[in-house]
Amino acid sequence: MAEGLLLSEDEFHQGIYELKELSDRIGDLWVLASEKSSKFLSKRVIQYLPLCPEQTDDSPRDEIAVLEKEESLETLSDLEITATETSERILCSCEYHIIFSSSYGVPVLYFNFYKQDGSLLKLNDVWSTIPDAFNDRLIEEKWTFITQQEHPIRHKPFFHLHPCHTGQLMKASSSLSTSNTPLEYIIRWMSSIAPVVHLNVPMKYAHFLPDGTPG
Amino acid sequence: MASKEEKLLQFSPFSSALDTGFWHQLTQLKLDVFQLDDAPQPLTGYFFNGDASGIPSHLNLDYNAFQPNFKVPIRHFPSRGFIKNTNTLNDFKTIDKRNLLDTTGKEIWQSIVSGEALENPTLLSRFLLLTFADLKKYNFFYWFAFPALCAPEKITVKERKKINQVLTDEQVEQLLIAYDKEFLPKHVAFFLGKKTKTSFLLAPLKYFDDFYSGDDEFFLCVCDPCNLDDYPGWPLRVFLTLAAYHWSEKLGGVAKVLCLRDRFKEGVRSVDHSLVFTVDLPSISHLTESPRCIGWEKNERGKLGPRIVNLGPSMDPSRLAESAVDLNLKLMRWRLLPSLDLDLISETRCLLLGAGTLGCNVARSLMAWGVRTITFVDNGSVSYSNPVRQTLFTFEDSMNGGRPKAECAAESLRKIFPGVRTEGHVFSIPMPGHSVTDGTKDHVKRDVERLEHLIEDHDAVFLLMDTRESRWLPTLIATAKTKIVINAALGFDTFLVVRHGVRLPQRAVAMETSEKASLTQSISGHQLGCYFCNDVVAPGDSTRDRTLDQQCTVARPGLSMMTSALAVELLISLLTHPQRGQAPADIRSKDEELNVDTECPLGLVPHQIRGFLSRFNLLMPTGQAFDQCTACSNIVVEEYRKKGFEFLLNAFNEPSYLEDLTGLSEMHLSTMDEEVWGFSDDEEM
Repeated sequence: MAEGLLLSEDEFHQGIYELKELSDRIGDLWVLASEKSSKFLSKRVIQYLPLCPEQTDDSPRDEIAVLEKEESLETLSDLEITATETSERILCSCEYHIIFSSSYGVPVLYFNFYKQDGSLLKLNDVWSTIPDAFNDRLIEEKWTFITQQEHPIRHKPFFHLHPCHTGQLMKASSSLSTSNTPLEYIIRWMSSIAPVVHLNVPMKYAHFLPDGTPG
Repeated sequence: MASKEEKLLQFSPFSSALDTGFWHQLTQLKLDVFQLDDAPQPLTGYFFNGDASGIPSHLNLDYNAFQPNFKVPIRHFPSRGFIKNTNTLNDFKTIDKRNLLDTTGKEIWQSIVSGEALENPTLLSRFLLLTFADLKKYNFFYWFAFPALCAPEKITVKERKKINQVLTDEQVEQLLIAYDKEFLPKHVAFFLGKKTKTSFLLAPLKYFDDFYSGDDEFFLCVCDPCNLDDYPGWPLRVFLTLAAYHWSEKLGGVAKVLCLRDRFKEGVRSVDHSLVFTVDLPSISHLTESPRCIGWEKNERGKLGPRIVNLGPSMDPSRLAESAVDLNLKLMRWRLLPSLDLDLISETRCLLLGAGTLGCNVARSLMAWGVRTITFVDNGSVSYSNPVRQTLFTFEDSMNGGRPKAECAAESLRKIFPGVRTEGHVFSIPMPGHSVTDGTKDHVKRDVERLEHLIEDHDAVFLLMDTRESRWLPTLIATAKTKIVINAALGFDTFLVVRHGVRLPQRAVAMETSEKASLTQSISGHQLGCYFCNDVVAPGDSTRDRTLDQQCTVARPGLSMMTSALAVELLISLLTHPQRGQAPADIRSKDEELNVDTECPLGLVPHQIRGFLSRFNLLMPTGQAFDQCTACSNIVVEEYRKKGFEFLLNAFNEPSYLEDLTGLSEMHLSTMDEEVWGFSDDEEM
């Protein structure tokens, strides 16, 4: 690959196959997805995100209230136990896709955070979930820029980290090691950007890098 | 932590977890495939026994839920169900929910009694989903049920332990090896286990008879999505019904249940939080009827009722377009111009007088800046020659006599971007020198009032007409109402963009003529001239003496795009300046002004931009308001304010009225006529 900065599509495929194998070995949840003749890595995790739940929306709650009164169904009653939530966090389904961008020659992270009812978190909310520790970095390093974009395969709105600085980022993080396989490339890339979007990358991946550091 | 007291075994129910992709697929299938067919459709969901601590157990439906051969993600376990999507909200409300749930309950019971569930344990984990999709408003009503059979009626807990109080580390390891080999890859969540003297063995449900021996410690194993220390999750419930039906007698009415919880943290596996319950399991093999079935999910308020989700923001194409346009502008702000006030720009209501080449292109540039209110006034219709230059029209618009330009332009804007608020008004703007007869008087009066109201209701007025005199009335009205005016005019290869001075509201009438600008650096915004300030004749009928080719606007085609773009950019710079309409215009020499630190984040806010395409040259002259101007001087504004339409009528009808009023006539007399007339009709100064 050119100066270790860019990937070809074949190298990307090799990288994600190998990453998927590693993922299985260490209990990570990446899945190889194949849609409309494109291959990509996909992962879905349910987790709490630091965000105050908001109650306001424009859906007709009255309709529901009527139904609640009318229904006389048996409850789950005595055999039921429910979990409690706090007010500073919200339970979300977090969906992550690693997709190849042929125009930039780099992997791109697309992601969505859904509330339990399937509605999408707004961009501002996504921004506000970003850990404080990354805010300075976000401002200084444009590569971490999160924006909303049409998913290149599903053609639905997804958030993504813009790929325009990935090449530079990879140049900086790979300068220490001499060789850089596609798998190492993807692990380094993933571990650099993952914390910003609440994507957990187990440290164990680093064991598969030559210098043992995730970049 | 072993508890000796006997109490009822309680289960933590699933909560549903959906994603937008699922609703997208439902919408698409409803529109393209199901249409009015509301028969139940099969679905696949999945659950997970490896969540981090504190996550409630959840059943997931995602983008792939409708796929017939959907393979659930690694380490997840399938739950089969169906969706009943009603055609009306009323159907959703009135459908017999007990019956709906009982139908699934009976299916589960059948699969237990027939032994089918022993062969295929996935049949034990079921759900159903009742929905109504209001696709006009993107409201989705939905209600999940996770059916469980109430048999045995009561299950008591004799003992509850952690896995490592029951199994040695070695036994756990043996368990996991068998689990990873036989059950995990096949996504099977229910199986049997036994602890022999030497090892720990697992087997599928269907081999119970061979596998079970009274001597060994026997376990019903379930992959448990629950994370609570004291309770198992929902899948165990139906599993115990199966066990009570088939195996209770053999087990002597007591069963050990291993709730396997299999979590990875930082790549390190842990099953330590798995639980082992010892429970009383009375036989139900005598039952002939399907037991009653429960399981409707409570909604977010803890009530037994449906939920509703509005997905307009992520599904309605118009709203998607709107947020994408906004985002694009926000990116500009975030990356380059943190002080840019996009809300101010988008809230600025723009009135475009003229929907020709300039009007069309100005509207497009305004939309690109996120301006949401754009109103057109034009009395013309689209002609065959127009669409190639006037970028909001097509050939079809010019057929059959042509559609009214103002309306056609508004419609076109909505097609380009549904988020825009736009309308077209078809009427002509009354002009000085175009005399008003008694017959037309009422009509002209109505048009004047219409224009007055439109200017009142907008924040910025663009003068984009093809004659000079039609700009007079809106200049006067906008000056009186202290609105921003951007004026753009084309020659053949020259153009002018000028922002009119905006009077300070409190001094709109009595602008102190003594207040002269300090002519060293800049002229403040309220002292800037208008389009007519540099002319020493009043506007008259400029079309009267023209030949046909002179009446058409003949300009180099690119000129309109450049001029329109500059006109819009000038407005945006002006809006972005802290003093807005009163932003001063620089009058220093060119080199100096290019180096100055500007108050406006976008840079300079010139008074005028004059372009000469033959030399590809731009000038930015600044001109002070002329106190004898026929359009914006105090005396004219004051007369208009006092006498209203009567004053206008005089201006329309009497060619010399305005010049007499402002004293220009006097000035003409005292000046060599040929010098004045020499550049009277030329828009260049």
